[in-house]
Order: sequence, then structure tokens, then C-alpha cells
Amino acid sequence: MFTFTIDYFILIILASIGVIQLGALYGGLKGLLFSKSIVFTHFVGFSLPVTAFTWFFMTDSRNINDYAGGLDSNIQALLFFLGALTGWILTTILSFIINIHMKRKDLSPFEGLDSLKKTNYFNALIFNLKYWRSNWRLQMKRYLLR
Amino acid sequence: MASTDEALFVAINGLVGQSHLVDEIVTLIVSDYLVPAGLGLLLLAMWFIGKSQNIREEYQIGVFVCLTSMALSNLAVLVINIFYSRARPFIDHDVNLLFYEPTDPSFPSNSIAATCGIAMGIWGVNRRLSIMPLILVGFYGLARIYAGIHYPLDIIGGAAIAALVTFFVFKLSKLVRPLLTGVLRIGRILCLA
Repeated sequence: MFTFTIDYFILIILASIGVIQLGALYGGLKGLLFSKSIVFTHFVGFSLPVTAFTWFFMTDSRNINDYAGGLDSNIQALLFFLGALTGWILTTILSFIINIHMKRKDLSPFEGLDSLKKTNYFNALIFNLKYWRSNWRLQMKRYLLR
Repeated sequence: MASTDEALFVAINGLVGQSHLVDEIVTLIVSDYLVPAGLGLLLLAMWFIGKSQNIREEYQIGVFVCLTSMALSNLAVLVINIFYSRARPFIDHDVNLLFYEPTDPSFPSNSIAATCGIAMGIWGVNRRLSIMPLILVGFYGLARIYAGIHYPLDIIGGAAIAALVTFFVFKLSKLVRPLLTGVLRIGRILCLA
């Protein structure tokens, strides 16, 4: 049960890193990419999920009932969420290190993911948090009820 | 109707053993971890694609719709199973089983209702993007009949429930759109949406 859980968790982490790369590429979110090369990003985006699924299914028998060591649907959904979240965190850290010099001053606090077209994740996050810390009273009503 | 359903099941499941390669592929497709995880990953990709903020917002609301459709389709199956419980094919028939023996009722197919809920949700957002998931879910359904764990009517029932639920979820999403947009705006503060 424990090994199965860990295996599934690793599968989702690896696959989600690849999928986020593809999503970021098609969304033009350069600050999230590991490389500026479209070919390399496609390679990482497709090869990571394919390798992860191949490893998962090749290493053990995966058609197991949940009471016999498999995962029930609730645990599976929870692990998927945690795995995708871990994949997202690893992506932001790695892309920050790779794109550390990607800094822009003309950011807007309302852009969200769109700001990653111009800068890396942590630069955008710090900019947003600074802005919202000093303007949250003023902006909250206007922004949320806009 | 029931006899046709069973006859069709026997015909499809009777193909097991004729090709080792097909059996292996079906064993892979029918797994609880391939198609559901694949669709989940597609939703994750959908969160990021979209060249502008407005397009991305449509996709992100679509992700909420897909997840809600999946959850409500599962709930609908659960409610139906309180009133109606059909035994799995391997209980009543001599079946070539390629999967473990599930303990929940056969009709309607819970797995198909959930995965179809996601695929039809994607169809509501982007027709082109939904082609691959719909084909995948089609194979998933066929594989579950081939593997001996569902009758064809279970699959059709699961898909019909998902279609109905997704339709209502899309209608509902228009009503709660300001709430969803508000959630996305909060996500934008943390550069998550």
C-alpha cells in the first residue's frame, strides 16, 4: 500500500512537471519554462509524462483492488492534488533558478499568471504581495467586485 | 434490451485471448490509474494554456466545471446505486476477466461517469481540445467491457449521466460565474491563476 502510494505520487509529480511545461509553452508563460527552446520544452513536456507512466506500469502490477493494496478513488484524488501541487512548486523553484535574470519593472498586480510572460514566478509573487500589503484595503473592494 | 446487452457483452468479452497484444493493451487502458490520471493532467495543462488572461479565465472556469461534473456524476451514480444494484458480469457469467473483481454495482459505470464528466466538460470549453479525451474515454469504456467488468449498458448509462450532469453544471456555472471569477482573482494575487 505504502509503496503503491509513493509510486503514484512520484508518477503525478513527474507527469505534472512535464504537463505544466507544455501548458506554459502554449500560454506563452516564459517565466515558467526551463528552456527558451520550443523543441526542448516539447521534449520535456512529452517525455516526462510518458517516462513516468511507463515506469509506473512496468515496475509492478497496477490492477489491484483498493482493499488489496490499491488506491481508492478518494485517496487517488488527494494524491493527484498533492502530486500536482508538488510538481507546481518544483517547477516554480527550478524555473526561478533558470530564469533568475528575467526581471521586469512594468508589472501589474492584476495580471496573475500573465506576469510570467515577462518575469519569473518569485519576482512576480513578491511584486504582487508587496503591492497588496500596502494597498489591500483600497483595492480589495474594487478588485474583487470589479 | 437486457438480453441484447448481455449478448453484446459476451461477444466482446469472448474476444479475450485471441490476441495477446490486444489483451495487454486493454489491461493497461482499463487500469484505474491511466485514463483518470491522464485526464487530470490535461486539466492541469488547461489551467495554463490560453494566450490572454480572458481566454485563460475561460479555460480555468472550464477546469472548475470539469471537476464539478466529475464529482456530481459520481454522486449521481452513488444515489442510483441506493435504489438499483446490478451485479457485475463475472457474477452471472463465465467471464474472461482481465481486471480485479470490483465490489461496487455494475450499473451505471462509476469510472465512465467520472471520466466522461471531465471529457464532456472539456468539450463544453474547447471542442478541438476535447477530441482526444473523448476518444480516450470511449476506449476506456470499451476496455471495461472487454475486460469483463461492465455490460455495455453500464457504460452507456455512465456516459448518459455524465452528459446530463455536465449540461446542468454548465448552466449552473453561468449563475455562479461571479463567484468563480472572484476565486480566480484571489488566485491572481499569488500568480496562481
